[in-house]
Amino acid sequence: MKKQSIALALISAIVSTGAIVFSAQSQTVTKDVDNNVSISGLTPSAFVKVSYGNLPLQKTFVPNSCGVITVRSTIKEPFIFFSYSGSAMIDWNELPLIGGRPLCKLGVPNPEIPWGTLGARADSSTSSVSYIRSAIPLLITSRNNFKERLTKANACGIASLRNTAVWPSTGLGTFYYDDGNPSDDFTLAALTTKPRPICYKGRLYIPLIP
Amino acid sequence: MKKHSIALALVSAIVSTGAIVSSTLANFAVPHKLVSRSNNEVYVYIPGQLSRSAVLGFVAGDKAITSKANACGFLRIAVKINRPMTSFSIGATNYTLATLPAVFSPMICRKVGTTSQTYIPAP
Repeated sequence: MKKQSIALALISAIVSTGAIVFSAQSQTVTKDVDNNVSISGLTPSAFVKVSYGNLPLQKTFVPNSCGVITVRSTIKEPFIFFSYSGSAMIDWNELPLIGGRPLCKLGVPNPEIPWGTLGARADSSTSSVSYIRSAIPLLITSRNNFKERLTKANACGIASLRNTAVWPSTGLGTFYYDDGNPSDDFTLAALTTKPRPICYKGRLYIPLIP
Repeated sequence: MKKHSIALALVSAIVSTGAIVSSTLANFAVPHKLVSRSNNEVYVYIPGQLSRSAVLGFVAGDKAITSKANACGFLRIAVKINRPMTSFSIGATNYTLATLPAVFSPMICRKVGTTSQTYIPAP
């Protein structure tokens, strides 16, 4: 009986303070020292889409019989901003136009085409195609590959974006996430660096930074 | 009978302060208490100590107790029915259990890389 009274007194005390407030967590995006990104304050178990706007894409292109490589850019595999063999970043929009001239003449790249100085290239003005003069296959790296990563918040409302080879955090570029409501834009560089939040006994825990 | 009286005093001390408030960052930075939900135990947390190597001598009532801070630099004292404590001191600073700020969830210590990190429940 006395034990019950004690328990009752304790519960009454807590209730009487009126200080138990349940409030929605504000959403926070942080990164740790290894560039793993955490989004906290989400609805537990919510699905979250995260945009990666700057993922690297690598593909080997083989030259044709006269030594010209055709780099065709598609929505799935964009090659608008790309580099190859250690070249500087090339912007397809700034390449010289090929006009109506044939790519090859007498079995070699047409000398009338204004091949550039960096491995020599020209483009088609009608589609996102770049031409590179090269006798050997080239590994070409695109930097503006856009993909959406689907992830799920844990029981504490934390979505973790591990920095991996497939999903490098540097590939986030200017990114946003969507858990039903699209977020503001973020950049990796502007995120606060701190140990990532954790889930402990079903509750969101954040690092105490002095 | 005696045990029940001590427990009641413990609970009363907490109630009388009206100090059970939502866990704020400020509360975790100073000595604070956590009332266990499963029983009537109270845990006192003392942050701001040197990690591990620090052995803290303090006085609970008239009894001297020695404890050791964890890797995150805080220590936890369980106040039980058979080990009551209404006040204690660390060095020259006196604390009264009843007036310590209260929190609902404990601070915890986790290894992050090669260092230990204190975590607190999000407000």
